[in-house]
Amino acid sequence: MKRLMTNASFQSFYKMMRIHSYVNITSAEGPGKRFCVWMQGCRQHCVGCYNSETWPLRGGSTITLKKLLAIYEKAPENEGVTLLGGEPFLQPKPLEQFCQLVHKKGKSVVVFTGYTLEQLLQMGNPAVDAFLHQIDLLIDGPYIQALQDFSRPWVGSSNQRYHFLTERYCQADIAAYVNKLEIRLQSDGKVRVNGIADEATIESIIKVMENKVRI
Amino acid sequence: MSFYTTIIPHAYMGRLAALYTNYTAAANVVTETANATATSTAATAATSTTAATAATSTTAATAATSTSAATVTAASTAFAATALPIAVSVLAVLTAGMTYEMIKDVKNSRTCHELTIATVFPDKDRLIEAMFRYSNNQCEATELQDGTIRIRYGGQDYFFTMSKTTGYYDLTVSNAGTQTQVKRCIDAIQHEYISAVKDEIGRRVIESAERHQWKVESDETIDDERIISIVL
Repeated sequence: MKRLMTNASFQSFYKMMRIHSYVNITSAEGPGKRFCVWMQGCRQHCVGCYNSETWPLRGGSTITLKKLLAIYEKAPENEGVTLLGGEPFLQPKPLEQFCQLVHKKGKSVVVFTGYTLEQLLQMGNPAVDAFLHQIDLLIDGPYIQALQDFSRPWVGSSNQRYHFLTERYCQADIAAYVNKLEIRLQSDGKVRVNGIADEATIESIIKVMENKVRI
Repeated sequence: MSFYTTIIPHAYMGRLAALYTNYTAAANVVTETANATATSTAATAATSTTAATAATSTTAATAATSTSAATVTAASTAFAATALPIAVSVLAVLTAGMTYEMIKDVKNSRTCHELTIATVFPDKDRLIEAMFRYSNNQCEATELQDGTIRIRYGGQDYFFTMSKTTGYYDLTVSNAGTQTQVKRCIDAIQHEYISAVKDEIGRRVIESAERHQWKVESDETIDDERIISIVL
């Protein structure tokens, strides 16, 4: 009889992680089209953070690795996965397992963190180290409002750095991308916006949508 | 750092809430008295409830904005600017949850002899389109002399009369019909309404992008979700 899973891997497969939200396909959060997950919980609390609702450690919703993988698999055309937040490195164990499964399918992993790579390496946490081994492109560093800079793709301030931890991507690949906003008009009546833009732009777009709609 | 938020335009959500509130309130009263007078009273009561809900939401949204702005006075304009939509989003989701909860209370087996529902449509063509979709193209639509739209389907008459006060079409369903049938009809109208709102908001976003000379990189629909991608 073929054993499909060890007891340990079975348990981890059903382990919960806490997320804020996700989009099945986006081209605004990394190279190519990507499945993107905003993790819930962050201790950095960067001044001017656009996603402060992702800070509470007990906010958002919980999801099993199995379910997240099932959602991810609905869009096989994606080039890979992007994890941001919130702080992905607050949940290294389940994310390391998730990314391992993503890699097995030949897809790439991009992760945003408010820590610097040096800080992560100095933690001496085996789970953090294992998670780092599953990342192709790590974008590190906190958002510093005084250093706000949208000239590079996907990042908000000039202190943030791209680390190409595998050979999957390189600096030349990054140069091909520009920042964008995606406005998603859902069938349940909700409108979701994701991507990178300055406050004035975001405000103007939201204002346009929030004005009374009379059909 | 990437921006992410969920927005439900409050006017839009308010109207959807109104649809369900009116339906539920009207249906409850009809069950008790089963006459047109009671239905009319219920419709009035429901309108008041809706107005109160909308007022509460607006107030709460304003309060939330003020609080956020006060908290981040340290030159954090980014947060202040995005606080409003986020606050509205949370409130709107709560509103939707409440309305669904109300719908669950309505037993499907009850029969409505006649009930009036305030709808959200001033657009006659889209309203008829919604009814055709609901009836799987099996209905018969007639415009009566007074401008009322009569939809005849499944042994029931659905009368849509333009309200002189709101400018929207109110729906009166006559002849016996279960609340399940009426709810399905409302769902069809709501679906069409959401489509119409999606069209309108999409139009505004693209118009705004053109005005600012931003490039609309793509405008595609995937799984009933329309995604407009803008390069700034």
